[in-house]
Amino acid sequence: MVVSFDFGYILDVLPLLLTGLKMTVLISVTSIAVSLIIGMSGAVIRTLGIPVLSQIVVVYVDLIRNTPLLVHVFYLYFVLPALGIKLSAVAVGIIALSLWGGAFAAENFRGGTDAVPHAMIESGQALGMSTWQIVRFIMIPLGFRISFPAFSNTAVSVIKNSAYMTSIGVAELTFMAMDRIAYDFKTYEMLATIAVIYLILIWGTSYLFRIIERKLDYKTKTTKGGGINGGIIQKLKFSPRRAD
Amino acid sequence: MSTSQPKLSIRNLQKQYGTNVILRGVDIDVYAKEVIVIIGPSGSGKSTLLRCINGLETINGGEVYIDDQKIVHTPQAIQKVRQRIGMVFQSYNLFPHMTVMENLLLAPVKVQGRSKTEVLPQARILLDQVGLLDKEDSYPAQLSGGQQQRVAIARSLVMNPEVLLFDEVTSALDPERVRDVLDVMKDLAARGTTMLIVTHEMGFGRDVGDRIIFMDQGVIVEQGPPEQVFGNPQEERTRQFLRNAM
Repeated sequence: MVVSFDFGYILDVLPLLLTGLKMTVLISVTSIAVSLIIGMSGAVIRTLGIPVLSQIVVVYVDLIRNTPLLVHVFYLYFVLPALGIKLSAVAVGIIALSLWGGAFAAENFRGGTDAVPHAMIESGQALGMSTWQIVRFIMIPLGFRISFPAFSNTAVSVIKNSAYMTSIGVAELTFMAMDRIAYDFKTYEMLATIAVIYLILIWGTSYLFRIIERKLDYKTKTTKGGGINGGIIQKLKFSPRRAD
Repeated sequence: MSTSQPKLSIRNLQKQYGTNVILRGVDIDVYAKEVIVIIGPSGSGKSTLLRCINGLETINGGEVYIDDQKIVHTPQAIQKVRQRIGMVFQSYNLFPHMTVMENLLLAPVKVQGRSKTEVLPQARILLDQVGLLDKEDSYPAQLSGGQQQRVAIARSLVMNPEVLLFDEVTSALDPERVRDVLDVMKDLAARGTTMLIVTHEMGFGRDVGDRIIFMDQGVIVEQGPPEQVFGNPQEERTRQFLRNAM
C-alpha cells in the first residue's frame, strides 16, 4: 500500500493543533503544580507519622497507584454526577491528573524527606526550632532537592497522561487531532504531527527540569562531592541570586 | 570556685537505652564563665550527657537546672531552653541548602523573632571572629570541614546562648584543621563564654579547661583543675586512661 503524505495539510491544521496544545499545557502545568503540593504534604505527613492523616495518605497513594488513570477519569466524569457532583471535562481532567501525579509525587518526596539526615533535624532542634519550623525550613527544602529528579519523572508522566483526557472530550492536543481525523481522514499526517509536537513539548520540559535540578543540586553537594559539578558550582557562585 | 548560684546544675542524671545503662547518676555544677572539659573513653557517656542537657535525649532519672529552673521536656519549654544552651556537633550539621549567612540568620530570625537588620551585623562580627567573614555567601559544600565547624560555632553564638555545649567538635577534622577550630574555642574561653566541652584533645583540654571531668562507664570517676587531673590523677582508672590517651 502506498501512503501519500501531505505536508501542506500539516501547515493547514497547525493552528488548530496549537489550540489543543495550549489546553494540554494548561491542564498539565496546573496538575503538576497541584501534584507538587499534594505530594509534598503527603510526604511530610508520612515522614512525621501524623496519626490518621498518615493512614489516609497511605490509602490514597495505594488506591491511585494500583488503579488505571482512565478508571479515575471515568469515575470522576460519570459516577460523580450521579452523586450530585457535576464537573466540567476540563475540571475532571485537572483533578484526575493532579490526584494521579500527587500520589506518585508523595512517594517521590517521601524518599526525599526520609533521606534528610537525622543530624540536620537535630541541628534544628538544638537551635530551638519547633517541629513545624524544622519541616518548613529544613525537611521540605532539603527533601525537595533530594527527590527532585524523581519528581521530574512524575511531572513528565503527567504531561503524557493528559492525552487520556481525550476520552472525556477535553479539547487537548490528542482530542483535536482525533476529532479532525474524523473529518479529513488524514490519519498519518495528523498522528505524525502530534507525535512530533509531544516530543518537542516533553523534551523541552525534561530539559527545563534538568536545568532546575542542576541549580538545586549544587547547594546540596557535600565537601566530598566536587567532580563534574565543580565547574557548575563555580559558575553559579557568581550568579545574581542573592539571599536577600 | 565561685560560691554563687550555678548557671547549670546536673543532679543525679540517669540515662539508659533499654537495659543498656549509659549514665548512672551524674552530678555537675557549671558556673558562669566556667569552661568544663569532659574526657573519657568512648562509650563513657560524655556525649549522651551533653545531649541530655539540651533535651536531644530524654532522661530516665535526675534533673537538670538552668539558673535554678528545672528543665522540663515539653516541646515548648525545651525549645526555650535550647535557645539558651547552644550546641556544636561533631559533624557540623550546617544546612547544606543555605549559604553561610542564611545558616546564621535562620534561627535568630525565625526562632527568636529578631529582625534581620539587627542580626546581620552581629553575624558578620562573629564570622569575622571565626575568620570566615569572606565566606558569608558560600554554601557549606564549598567549605572545608574546619571552616564548616567554625561556621557552626558562629551559628550557635549568634543566638546569644548562656552556655555552649561542644560534642567532640574536632573529631571529624583532619589534624591540620583541628587547630583553627581549637583556636576559636580558646578565644571564646578567653571571652568568658560558659562552655562544656567533650573532647579527645587532651592538650587543648589542659590549656583551656577550668575544670576537667573524667568519666567512665556512666559515672564521674574524677574531677578537678587540669593540673591535678592531668598532672596528679588520684584514681587508677584515670591514670590508665591518660597513659593510653596522651
